[in-house]
Amino acid sequence: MSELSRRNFLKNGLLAGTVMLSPAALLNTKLSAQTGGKKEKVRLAVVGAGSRGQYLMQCVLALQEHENMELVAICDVYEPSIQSALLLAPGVKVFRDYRALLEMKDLDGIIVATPLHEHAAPTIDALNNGIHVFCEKAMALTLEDTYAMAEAHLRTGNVLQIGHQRLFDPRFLKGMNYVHSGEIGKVTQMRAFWHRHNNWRRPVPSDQPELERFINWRLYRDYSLGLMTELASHHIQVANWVKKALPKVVRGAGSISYWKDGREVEDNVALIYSYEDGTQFIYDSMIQNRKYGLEIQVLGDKGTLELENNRKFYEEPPVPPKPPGIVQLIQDLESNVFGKIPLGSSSWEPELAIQERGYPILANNPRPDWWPAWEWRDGSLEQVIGFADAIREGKAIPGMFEQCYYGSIWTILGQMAIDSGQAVTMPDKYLI
Amino acid sequence: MEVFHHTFFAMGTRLNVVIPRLTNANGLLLADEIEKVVKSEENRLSCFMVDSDVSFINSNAIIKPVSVTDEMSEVLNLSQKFNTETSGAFDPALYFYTQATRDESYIDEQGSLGWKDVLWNPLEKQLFIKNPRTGLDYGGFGKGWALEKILKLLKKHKVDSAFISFGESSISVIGEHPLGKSWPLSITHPQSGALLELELNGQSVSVSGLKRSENNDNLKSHVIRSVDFTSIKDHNIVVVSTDSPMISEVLSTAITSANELQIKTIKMNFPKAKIYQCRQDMLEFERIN
Ligand SMILES: NC(=O)c1ccc[n+]([C@@H]2O[C@H](COP(=O)([O-])OP(=O)(O)OC[C@H]3O[C@@H](n4cnc5c(N)ncnc54)[C@H](O)[C@@H]3O)[C@@H](O)[C@H]2O)c1
Repeated sequence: MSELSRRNFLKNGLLAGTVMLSPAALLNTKLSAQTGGKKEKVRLAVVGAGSRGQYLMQCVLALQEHENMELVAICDVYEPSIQSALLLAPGVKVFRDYRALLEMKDLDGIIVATPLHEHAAPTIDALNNGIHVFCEKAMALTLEDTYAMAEAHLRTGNVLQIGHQRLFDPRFLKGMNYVHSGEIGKVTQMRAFWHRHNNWRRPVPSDQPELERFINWRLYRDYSLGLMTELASHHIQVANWVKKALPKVVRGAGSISYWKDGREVEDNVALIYSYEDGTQFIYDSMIQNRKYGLEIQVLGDKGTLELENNRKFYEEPPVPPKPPGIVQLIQDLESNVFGKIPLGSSSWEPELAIQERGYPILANNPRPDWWPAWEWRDGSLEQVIGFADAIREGKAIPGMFEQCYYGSIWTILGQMAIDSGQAVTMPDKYLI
Repeated sequence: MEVFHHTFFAMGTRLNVVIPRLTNANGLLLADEIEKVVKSEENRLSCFMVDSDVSFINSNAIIKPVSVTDEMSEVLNLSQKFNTETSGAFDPALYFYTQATRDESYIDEQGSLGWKDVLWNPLEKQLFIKNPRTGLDYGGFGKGWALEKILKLLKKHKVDSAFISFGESSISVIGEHPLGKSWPLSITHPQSGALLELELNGQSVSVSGLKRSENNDNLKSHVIRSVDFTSIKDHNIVVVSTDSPMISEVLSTAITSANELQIKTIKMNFPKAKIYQCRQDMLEFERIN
């Protein structure tokens, strides 16, 4: 297939919803990953051992026995990060330049958790060196870097997995089954928000004020797109997953309305992503009020999902199952038996306002007994399992990268819409 | 024999109708009418539906007196009557405590909450709520009230044998069991396992007490005690059998939260009701009147 026709094929496929990842495939990967058995050892290193990097280190350490993985090295450029990371993994090999790390023998994969503008270089160099990469979201600061990362992945065939843990979150997987099986009907609107109440700053040592931009990289446009790349990217990915399609156009507005402290990124944004079929995805984010927290609402003509909150609602309640006592009465009558009608005991159902509070998307989510108590099962641990399995197989979970790639692209396009005040579409050259 | 049966969600729970010797075609028509009746009562009485009569009253009657429909006025007259006859144990105006917030830390502030804050003028059909923390909640009344309407409807259609269970806590029967004289019901206390067997022939039974909560087996009660506004935590099951589903439900709600004096009044005012109770530590249900 020529390059052009391949792109057209993918484009049409995406718009028709055929290329997007199937949650069932993901779920199977996850389950087979959890049933254990002796797996081949996977050796991993973490680049950028800051807050998220250390969390992912803990994930690897928690999985090392059950999933046969090993944390062989960390790499960071900031001494306090290195020292606190060493408390988690005493004796692990330390690098201060990722290029030296990539020379290491027997290294299977790296986990990149550096600030956003530092995602592309280690990712591309690693892929080119035959090393698989798990890179935190969003993929990169610019469309060019994002595309270059995708190009390196597609050209080398090495795994590039992006840290959108909702793709592995059991509640989201079940929710997507509800959406894609048609249970909540035709979805023509999605709404998401992410609200916090804090200045989003990290403390800078008082004797080193020059570290402000290095530590608070999220607040400056040279390193981050603020609320868009750090928070919105997650829900933009989920919205495309729901629709199995890409937006057609995005419009947006934003401002620094409250935290006027020299930061360069908005503290208040609102966007509308419009899809070809008329669906609107309405997103907003702010950091001066936390009442509504975070949520993504999927609104269908038969029902509603609140995915973050694990709730499901029906426009018209479904036919409920009959309680056992009634089933028995009917059976007895049909076979002309005069029997007692049992009530109560285990057949009793809640009488609180079920409908108004909705139903759980996932009613229970038991953990294996070795599951670390600190991991509240948002998919973060599963995505590390998925990464190690993909390394063993030598290939990524089908469709997942494309989903994350376009999530990052449309995150940046959203920022461009805010910056320009214009309706923004995706240039064809970013199709993969 | 042929048996028609139908189940649907209403009032936050499921309603089951079983009618022996009815064809499916006739049954479906009847089921449709039943659903309509129940939904319309739910639209009137539910404090969860934003556009119900009760929600309208709760948000407006605290500002100025509101006029109500004839049907709602009948509900309010009954509220007044049952509140008096149970010496206040039946209180349909504890919305603030049952729903708006389950926070019991306000208990010392409650002073005069509940039905005594509701000024109901049956002649003008006007209602005013003098304390903004009070609101109507027909959680312990609505199913019984709706069952009355269903029974009326079935009788109008000449149904002479039927079993209806609303949330498995309000049960009504019409006529005899097709294979025996009465409908044999057995109720089990979920903790103690104690069993109560009742023979129903035209009566309605209401069970109040503990319900299983949605995700786990922690049992919690949704009945609020009108004397001190605490929720009922004892694993106490109350069963009331009378000729009316509405009276059965009112009494079972009231008894669950009543004090000694109120129970005495209830026994006196409802001599024909059969009232049973079983606490978690009791091996059998006891008849208390
Ligand atoms: N998936 C999620 O839910 C989630 C949550 C939080 C953060 N993140 C992502 O993780 C990434 C890191 O965020 P964070 O909060 O941990 O930031 P952080 O500032 O706490 O950590 C970044 C670390 O990278 C180090 N670093 C900077 N440049 C480097 C370089 N060239 N080589 C090696 N190390 C370098 C820094 O010294 C620091 O220790 C971001 O992309 C962020 O979006 C994802």
